[in-house]
Amino acid sequence: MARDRDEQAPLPEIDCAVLECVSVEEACARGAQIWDIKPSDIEAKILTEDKKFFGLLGSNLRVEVCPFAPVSYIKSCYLMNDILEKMDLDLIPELTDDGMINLVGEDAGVVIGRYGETLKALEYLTNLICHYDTSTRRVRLDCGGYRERREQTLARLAESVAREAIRKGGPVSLEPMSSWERRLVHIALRDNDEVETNSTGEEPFRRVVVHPISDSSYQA
Amino acid sequence: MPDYVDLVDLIVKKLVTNPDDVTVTEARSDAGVILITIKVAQEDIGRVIGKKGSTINAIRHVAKAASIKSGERVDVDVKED
Repeated sequence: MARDRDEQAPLPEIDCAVLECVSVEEACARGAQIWDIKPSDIEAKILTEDKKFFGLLGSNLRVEVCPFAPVSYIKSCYLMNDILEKMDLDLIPELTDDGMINLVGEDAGVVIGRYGETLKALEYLTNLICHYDTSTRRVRLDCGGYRERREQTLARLAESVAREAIRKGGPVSLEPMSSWERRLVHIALRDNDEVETNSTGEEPFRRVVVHPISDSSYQA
Repeated sequence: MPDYVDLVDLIVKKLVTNPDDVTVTEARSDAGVILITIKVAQEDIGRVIGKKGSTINAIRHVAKAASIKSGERVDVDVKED
């Protein structure tokens, strides 16, 4: 079940660098080179300022520069932007603080796809390409509140499958789902004393199985 | 109109270790299906296909989603020598 928990992995660290330069613009441009991102995605903070000849010849600055978010998330946004443009879809990626890229625009329905499969495919590809440090949280994609709606649907589904398992007195398995969806099912039934849940099978066919606790054939 | 060749080329070039060896071509079958064929260096084929085809399937999903608005039919394949 370890893979069902990867949503809770820590966010990637944000690197910072201290640069000596003559202007904030220069600091942003050099920071952009370090991480291979756009200067507008760099945040700069002036640490000290030495005026040359009372400021008449400009200043020497020590500036701390940081990407505004983890670099892998920023690059995921660039990639999503390029892909959506080539797909000819009217959508813009917006990065939230907790590592979610929200796709905003008119073509929300197209990019979600059936059961969110297009969103999942894009999420899979962007993590494969941009997210190297697998000990940190992967970037997630959302569009038009899809995740929240799916969360509610899965919670309802989990409850009804739990009732079915209890009635039947044996295990009931759900459709194959992504780790994020399986986790939601586990969470939905965590406080239900009458059933236990586990995941079985290999990706991409890994699925949740709900066991009634009274089921003697099931060994934890 | 989406440009399927450009779209697939963009994704595949970022997945492989030899982006210069990537060629993506388009062919239209008699039935009107647009077939996109990916050719990559031998050592990169696994990267494009992925475990149990997970990567090539994701690429197919993305190409198919791109075709929804125009109503075209598109499929993506990897050429193996």
